[in-house]
Amino acid sequence: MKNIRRILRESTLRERFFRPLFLFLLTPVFLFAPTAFAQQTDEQKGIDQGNYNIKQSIEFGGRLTSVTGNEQTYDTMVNLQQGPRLLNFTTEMRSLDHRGTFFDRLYFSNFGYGGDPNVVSALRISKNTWYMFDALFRHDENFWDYSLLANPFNQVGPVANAPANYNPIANAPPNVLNTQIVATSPHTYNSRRNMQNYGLTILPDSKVRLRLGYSHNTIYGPAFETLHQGTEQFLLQNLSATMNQYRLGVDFRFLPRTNISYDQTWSYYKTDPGTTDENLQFSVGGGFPPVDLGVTWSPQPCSPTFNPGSIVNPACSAYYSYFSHRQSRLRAPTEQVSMQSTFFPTLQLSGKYSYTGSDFNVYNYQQAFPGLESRSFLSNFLQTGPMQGRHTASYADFGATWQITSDFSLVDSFHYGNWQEPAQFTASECSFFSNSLIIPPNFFTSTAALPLSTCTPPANAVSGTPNHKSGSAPDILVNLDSNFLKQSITSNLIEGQIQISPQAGAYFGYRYVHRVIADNFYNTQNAIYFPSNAARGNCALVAGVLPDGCTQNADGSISFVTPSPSFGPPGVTDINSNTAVLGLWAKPTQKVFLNFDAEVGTANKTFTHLSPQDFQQVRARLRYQAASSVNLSLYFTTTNGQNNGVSINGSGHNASAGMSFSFAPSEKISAQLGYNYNNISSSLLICFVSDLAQPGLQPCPGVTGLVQQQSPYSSAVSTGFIDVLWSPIPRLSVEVGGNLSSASGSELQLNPLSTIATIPTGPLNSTWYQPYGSIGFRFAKHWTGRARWDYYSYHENLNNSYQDFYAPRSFHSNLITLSVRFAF
Amino acid sequence: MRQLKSVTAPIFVAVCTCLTLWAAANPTDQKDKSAQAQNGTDLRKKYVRPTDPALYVGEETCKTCHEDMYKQFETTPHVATTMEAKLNGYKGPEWHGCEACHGPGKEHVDGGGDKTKIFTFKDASPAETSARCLGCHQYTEEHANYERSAHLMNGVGCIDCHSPHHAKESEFLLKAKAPELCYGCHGDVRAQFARPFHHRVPEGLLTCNDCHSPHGTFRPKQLRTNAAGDTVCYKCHFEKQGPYVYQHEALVEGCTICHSPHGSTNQRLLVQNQVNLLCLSCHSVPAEVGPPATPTFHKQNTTKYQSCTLCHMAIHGSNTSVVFFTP
Repeated sequence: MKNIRRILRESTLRERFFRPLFLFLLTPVFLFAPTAFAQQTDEQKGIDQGNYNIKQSIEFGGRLTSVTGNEQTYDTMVNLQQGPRLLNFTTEMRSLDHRGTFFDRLYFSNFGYGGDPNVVSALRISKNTWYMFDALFRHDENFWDYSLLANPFNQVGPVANAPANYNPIANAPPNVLNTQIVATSPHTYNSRRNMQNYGLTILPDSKVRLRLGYSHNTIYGPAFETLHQGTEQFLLQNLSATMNQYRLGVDFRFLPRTNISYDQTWSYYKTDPGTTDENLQFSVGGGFPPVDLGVTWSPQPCSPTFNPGSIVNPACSAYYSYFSHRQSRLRAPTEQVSMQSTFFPTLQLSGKYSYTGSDFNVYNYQQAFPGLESRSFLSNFLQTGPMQGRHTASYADFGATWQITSDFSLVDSFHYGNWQEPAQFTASECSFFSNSLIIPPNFFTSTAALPLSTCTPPANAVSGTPNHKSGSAPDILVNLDSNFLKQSITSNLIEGQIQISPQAGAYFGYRYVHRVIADNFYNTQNAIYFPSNAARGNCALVAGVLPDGCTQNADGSISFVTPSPSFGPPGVTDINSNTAVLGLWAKPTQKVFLNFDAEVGTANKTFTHLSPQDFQQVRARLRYQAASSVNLSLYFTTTNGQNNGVSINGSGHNASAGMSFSFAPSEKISAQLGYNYNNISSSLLICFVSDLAQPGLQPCPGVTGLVQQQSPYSSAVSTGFIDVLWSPIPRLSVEVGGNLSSASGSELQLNPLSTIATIPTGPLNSTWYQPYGSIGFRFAKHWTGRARWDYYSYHENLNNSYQDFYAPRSFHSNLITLSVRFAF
Repeated sequence: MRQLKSVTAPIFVAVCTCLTLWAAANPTDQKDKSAQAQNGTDLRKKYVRPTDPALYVGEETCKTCHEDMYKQFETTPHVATTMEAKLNGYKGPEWHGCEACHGPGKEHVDGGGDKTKIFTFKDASPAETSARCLGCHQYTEEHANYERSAHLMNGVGCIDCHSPHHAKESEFLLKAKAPELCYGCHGDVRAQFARPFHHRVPEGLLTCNDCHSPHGTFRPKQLRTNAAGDTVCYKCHFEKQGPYVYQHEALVEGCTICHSPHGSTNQRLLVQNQVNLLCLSCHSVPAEVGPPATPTFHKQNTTKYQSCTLCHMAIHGSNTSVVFFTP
């Protein structure tokens, strides 16, 4: 197996010189570059060539990166690597007579090419009265390896008879402090997302306007995941998902001051993920292939995990291989009609209605693994079956503004939404059983009617009676799950808007929201239980008698068919909420702007414990221009929620206050600084089980075996920023600044009786510093050299948890970027 | 209850202030002799363009005194208002050039440049300045809700963000590039983007405009939707939408029930630091129709069960596993 980090990084190395379609557009754009400089050399004005004014700038260079500390965390949070870069390339062209041959305006900008995690190209090109074309390409590399959650890779205490210098992950990178501690998250991934959007508007100012659009979004890349089946297998999935969307729209402007539009969108989603087990490294001896013991080593996979000679205990849960594949397809056509009108002088109307009826299918689904699940003796498993689903959604929106008097208007916004998602999975499962990794399963030749006509035994299976436990699944099962979920929502917001004066205004209003959420479930099974221990599962004897649906067969097997399958009673949640809204704004002078708004609401119930039943929000802002070069901004927001259900006792609070100040006394110097304080807290009752919980906790009402405790969470984050730009002479510019963020908080410790902290607090108590500085010198006409320094520092306050001690996630890094900019 | 009291006081003060200001601004014998009133509008009424051609002088006349301003105007897309062929739906001098926004100019010219005879944006209310813009720009889905938007309702007009004559950003004539423009009022959001886990807005991959429409939408917080009208998150995170055979029904409340979309100190933009505490918030005592409680063998003193998503990996929904073990 390849090194885990190399698997994640391989694609990145190939893509370091990634050349998307847009990059080729650079070539013809370069052809527009002037062969000689025109009379105007001012960068802001550009140069006139032919019938066009052209402004262009290009900055290219390279970055040097040095990281100290946890590189995985750096790659997760920053991921700026070293190498050459196209830092920026921008071209603007404008026709001088507004009658260009092919276009009148062109804007083209790019940054990040050469290996940065974020790459963007944007193009807008238009010709007056004829067309407008927009194109946007975005590439995002999202590397994730942040090992915070109690990392199950790391065992507590030594593992007897384990192989020397073993590692739960085959060929993992060197561990921290040369120990056996694994600092890699079990769910590491390196996904890339490419998002392309194109839009063309034809005859934009005519009475009939045509709009065409296309989007192509993909996500791909390796991702590690885990599967719980006895143990937690360590699997590698190659993400691959694509969404293509085609749009056609027509606008009709035949009525005065009215636009009516029709839009048709076709969305196609496709994903073909494949998953395999790449962690097969432990020997079971006897010529058998190596197995994956899973990621959980705290506690150990089984006891003992290894026999003398570092041979895996054959009674352990472990897997020889894993394979899963499917083809998922979604087709979602959407029809939309919309209108905007001020046909009536005092009435402004807008409305929209859309309908989507999408179909979802999964083809060629297969999941298979040989190995051993010790709890049930499952030795070989194959699951196949189709999945179908549907997503239908209707949304209707209507808005009206009625100017009743010269200074009072009535505003109404109505929304109706209804979506429904029925879906079903018909699973066909073939299971074979053995009590050991090194004993082949037996296959039973039944004379009874089987739910499936084909259930091929594995190649090494031996004819005989399978070895079952009471918890073993059916030998052959066809299971149909059909589920349904829907939500309908109706809301209306009516507001009165008062124009107090040209410098002040206010509004007040009322919002009513009604939601109905409903679900339903249907299940039916057709199964057969082979001997031994055929009376198990759905056919376990009750008072010595087979339950309904079970039939004893002559060969000793028991068949099961769900008796009288039907939908269960639906679950319905009916929520009504009422909210009062209020706002006030004032601009007493040109230099001052004040704004205040508030909402207070309540609902009769909530759908989740986290949703507030009563809620309040207040926001206030002040902007003050003390002088032409001095601006001050102050703001305060607070959001509170309460959910006072007896078994919830929930509350939430989020308050944020801050200021920003900018000062630009001359062209030579400007400064910005700001500060924000954000206090977040929440609390509600939770139920859980732990051997190390606080003594004396009340039992959880209605749930045997759990205790109940109030779970508070708090986080206070202070954020500051500063930026100073200084040009002592016209050729020279110096910039220094930084973003500084500090978090402190606390949360419930579920295991206070533990002698060491079981869970690191991680980012809850951390600092995040990003100072920077740069110097630029215009060494020739149009040419500027730049040197920039960036520093990233992330530090967590450790709490001596096992994870913190061996795998701290802190890092700091220095980045130097040297570049040359050419601009006119 | 204490939180309720803490907000009712400022609300009460605001209501009293509002009523006092409104009374003070509406004396019974108010007379308005502004140029706007003389042109058939007053400061608070929607702008109705006078159609008498004799009131208009044309942009060439404006250019004779405001040459620098006009040269800058020629570099902007608004120069199209001077092109007759472009104005298919907007015939007449009231839609042309400078006077399309500033109103008829004949009185201003005849008065030797009398500033009281022409509409100046800086003295007008946000609603009236925006009415001038919306006369052309209203008839698209992007701008259709601006009059009902949180921005205009709170006194933020078109020219608070856009500057037809002094734009710093040429694509959309903005006073500053996004997101710095948005940060001018939404400093709290800037602070959220400065946290270690955040949507890539500071990096330039996304803009505020990707999720929110500054001109208003039919949804709360001016949020956009995807093409099907569903939550905007699925525009990029389409692989999370489903439908799924086995739904994680908490998603009915929206992605923000678990995630903090701008930025968070918590990994994966979660609203809580540790995943198990977030999951236990719902998977405790069942609500009226609620999620199951955790089984008694999920002992929180063992590493394996502290990490819920180690097993319940397909947490946004699954097509194969009722307990979300597999996608």
